[in-house]
Amino acid sequence: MAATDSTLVDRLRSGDRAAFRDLYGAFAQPSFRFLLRLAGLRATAEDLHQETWMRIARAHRELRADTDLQAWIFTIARNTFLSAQRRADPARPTVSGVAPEPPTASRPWDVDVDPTCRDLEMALRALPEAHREVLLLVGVEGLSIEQATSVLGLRADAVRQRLARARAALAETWARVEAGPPEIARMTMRAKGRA
Amino acid sequence: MSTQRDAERLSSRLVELRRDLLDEAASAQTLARAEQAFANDAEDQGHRRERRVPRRLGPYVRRWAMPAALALWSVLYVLGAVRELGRIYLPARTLPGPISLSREMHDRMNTGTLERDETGHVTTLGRHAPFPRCRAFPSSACREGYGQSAPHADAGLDLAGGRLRPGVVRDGAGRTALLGPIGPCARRERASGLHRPRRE
Repeated sequence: MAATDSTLVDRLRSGDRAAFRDLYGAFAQPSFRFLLRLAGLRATAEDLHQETWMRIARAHRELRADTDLQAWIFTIARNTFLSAQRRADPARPTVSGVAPEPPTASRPWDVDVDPTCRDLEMALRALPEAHREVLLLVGVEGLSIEQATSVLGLRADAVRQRLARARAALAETWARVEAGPPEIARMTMRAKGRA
Repeated sequence: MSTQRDAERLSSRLVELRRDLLDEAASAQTLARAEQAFANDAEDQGHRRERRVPRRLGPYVRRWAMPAALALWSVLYVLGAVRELGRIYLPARTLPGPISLSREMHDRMNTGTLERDETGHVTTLGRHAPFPRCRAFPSSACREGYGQSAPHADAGLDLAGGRLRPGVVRDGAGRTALLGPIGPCARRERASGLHRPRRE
């Protein structure tokens, strides 16, 4: 953990509002990106983002001196997303990636797509949730394997294995997306079978 | 080799997804709400910390309050018992008993052979128990008035029908005075007007 994290944690624990603004400035965009690509809808992601930061504001006293702030915030964001999913569908299992997911065509996706990244966004959309979240954490947001381990609640080996499979599935899907739209549905079915 | 290159390309493209997606208005709204919640929570925590100092005494008070109360009650109980025992027994030992006559003197008085001057020599002091019970306080005796002489009285005795009437003394001028009981019963009777000293 960086020394700046330690200082920020101390300030947060003492109730420093400026420290909370610093934290928000550093992690508001990453947490929103993560939630937006998990939820797929901007309105839902904004609600989840607000709920996440309300939880962070109330939970700052529970911080330990050695808390990794990045992992802590992504953990809260992911738990908020899973809680919202359970509220929406109580029958849904708590372990992400195990539940049957809707087909890609009917899956909501309201991400403002940059034209240069459109193909990659489409490939991410086609991935199962378990693969998507590990790719978002490690590939997009740059968390280490140890940080992803604490966010996902998995062992390091399991995270590495899941990440390798997710990368392979994304590469394959991405290649097909670049090739043309009719390939997407077929690739999505293959990816779901591997998850 | 191409697989390695594809993986690197994929990684670099994934990093390109790291761009701002949250617009300023939504971000400012979220920050305002979260900061307010943070401030409220910090304020509550501050109040809790201020209250924590007196609360530290709470466990000690709760732990020792009952034993302390019992100890205080025990001390008061023992002191009260000692005081009551002392009040009952210690005066009985120190107060003089009622004046009584020996059998010989009693017989001589009945036969008229006892001179008035001899009474000071033949009378004996003895302890005559029990004292009459107090009607108001059966556990204690109204003994204060018995066995005490009036300050103006001498040691003369008065006999009525051959029996010593307690509490009746004769002063040096030959007047008799009745020393009534002066305990709580007497005080009560005096207050209610029931007690009237008899004059012989």
